[in-house]
Amino acid sequence: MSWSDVSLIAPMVWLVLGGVATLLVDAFVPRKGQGHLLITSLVFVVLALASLGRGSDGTEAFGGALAIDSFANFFHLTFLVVALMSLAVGSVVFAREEKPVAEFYPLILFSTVGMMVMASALDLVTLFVGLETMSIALYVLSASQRHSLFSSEAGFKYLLLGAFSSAFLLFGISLIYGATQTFHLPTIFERAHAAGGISMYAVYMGGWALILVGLAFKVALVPFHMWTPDVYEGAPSPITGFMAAGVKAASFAVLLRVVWTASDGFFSEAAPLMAGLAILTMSFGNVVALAQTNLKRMLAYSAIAHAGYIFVGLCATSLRVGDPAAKGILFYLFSYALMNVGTFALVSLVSGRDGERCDLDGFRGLARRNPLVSATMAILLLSLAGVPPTAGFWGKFYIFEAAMREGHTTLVVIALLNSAVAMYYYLRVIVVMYMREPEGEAYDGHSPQILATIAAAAVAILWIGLFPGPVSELARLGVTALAHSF
Amino acid sequence: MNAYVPILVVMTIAVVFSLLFLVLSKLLGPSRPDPEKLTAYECGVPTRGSTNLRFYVRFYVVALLFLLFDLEAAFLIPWAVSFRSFVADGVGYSMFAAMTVFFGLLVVGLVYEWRKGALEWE
Repeated sequence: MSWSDVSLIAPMVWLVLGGVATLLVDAFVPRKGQGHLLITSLVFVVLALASLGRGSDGTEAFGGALAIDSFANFFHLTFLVVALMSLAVGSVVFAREEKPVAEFYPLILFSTVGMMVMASALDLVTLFVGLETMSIALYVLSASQRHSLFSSEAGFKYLLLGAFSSAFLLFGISLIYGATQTFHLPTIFERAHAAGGISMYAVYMGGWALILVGLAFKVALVPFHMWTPDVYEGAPSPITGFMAAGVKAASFAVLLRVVWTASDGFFSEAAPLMAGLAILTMSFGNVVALAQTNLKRMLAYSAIAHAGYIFVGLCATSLRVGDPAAKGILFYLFSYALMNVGTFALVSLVSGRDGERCDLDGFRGLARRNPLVSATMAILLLSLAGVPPTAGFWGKFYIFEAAMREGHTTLVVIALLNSAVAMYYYLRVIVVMYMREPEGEAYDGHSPQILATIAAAAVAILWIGLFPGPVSELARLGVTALAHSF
Repeated sequence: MNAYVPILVVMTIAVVFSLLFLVLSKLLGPSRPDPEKLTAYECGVPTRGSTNLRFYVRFYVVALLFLLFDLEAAFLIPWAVSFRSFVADGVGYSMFAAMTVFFGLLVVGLVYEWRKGALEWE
């Protein structure tokens, strides 16, 4: 460890300092509201954003434990944007509680650090530490609505199944270590490609299979998705948005590195298995989402379906510099983060304090009561559905086009059919907002922070949809860096 | 792979024999239960009360605090033992810095608990 290592991970250091600072501010500055905590945490997120972009491609910090390259930086940017939006939204939602949960701010910051470590991890142990840092904070956050039984249930379920999946991951890591005598991913890649290959081949393959299972739990691939609907529904909406976007991005970052490391061994032989997982995940998520009347549950199943689309990209990824499928995944994850956090912010705005209006009826006639909010919601939903002038369209386009070029025609056809099915349930919400009469009490969710967040998300989605170039270029640089580290 | 065959053999023997003795004692052993035999064993004296005791929830916080210090000790002692060799390797300062960071984070946790009143037994 040297000073240059520490300066390379400056964004993470800022976030850890921010977490500590908000804890201490909360303990020593007794105030009624939470404005001071929000400002403290936002300052540190902005400091972290300002210190992004260190290192160049191939830079390794802490003796090969972390990679600080364009790939990591792309994801770090995504996580920081997600954290920024979630902090703004959460500050409103948690302030509505009877006993406000001040731990929300440090926990979001610590969880983001975990995600950043995951995206940077070049080493299986570092990867595990990052994953646990992210997850443990999230277990607490999902249970943080103290008066709600659903929230406690969500936290507990997430903890149990998360611990279960960590066990798979750890066992896989130990098998890989047994077979290769190293944790360092590029070294594993070298040894697997050296003459003679790996002697304990079965152990090596089993290790990757278990690691895949552990990560599949985190991104909620069918059949490892059982926890997702309950946890996404029970957790407070801002937390759901944070974990759906952040955990997915972090786990796919890890999956990309893992798949590239083991591309010639496990993942080329397991290609049919991977394609099966993708098909199962997309189809199951979309079909079950059709039947949901609770908006949060519907979005949970749609999150499963989105994991399936991204996984199509993972099936089509090739070990080439500037791999278009991997670029598509990065682009997709960034735009998905924006629309997902935006949508859940909107849900927490409309659903009121206890989330009692999370069912579709709560959105009846929203267009008449508040045209601006419902227009934003329409943009976010159309982007989730992948309709052209939005960022969601380009994410799907890049991934499907790359998969097509790699010859995965069946997968792409099934993915397109699924997108058509998904159109139905996204449009249904828009129909309810625009074509039904409002009923019950008037809409009362006015909060400048949430309105600013969803407006920013909607504008960004439209902007990226009209001009996908800059983000796409950043994603391409990220993939080049990924190729560089092997 | 051949190096693992003995382990496989040992595991097989262990599983087979333990199952065998369980089944044999079930089949051959006489079974004459009476109320005395069926009660829970509590140091030989007659059992009192239910085993489903309620624990005071405050123990939970104490357990968490214990974990904090336990982990600290588990890290600190090996670090202290090998500190001379760190210095000999020329990484003394950076190792000291690393432990200071770790220690600092734990102290922040303790201070937070203290201020939040988790240490008051009321």
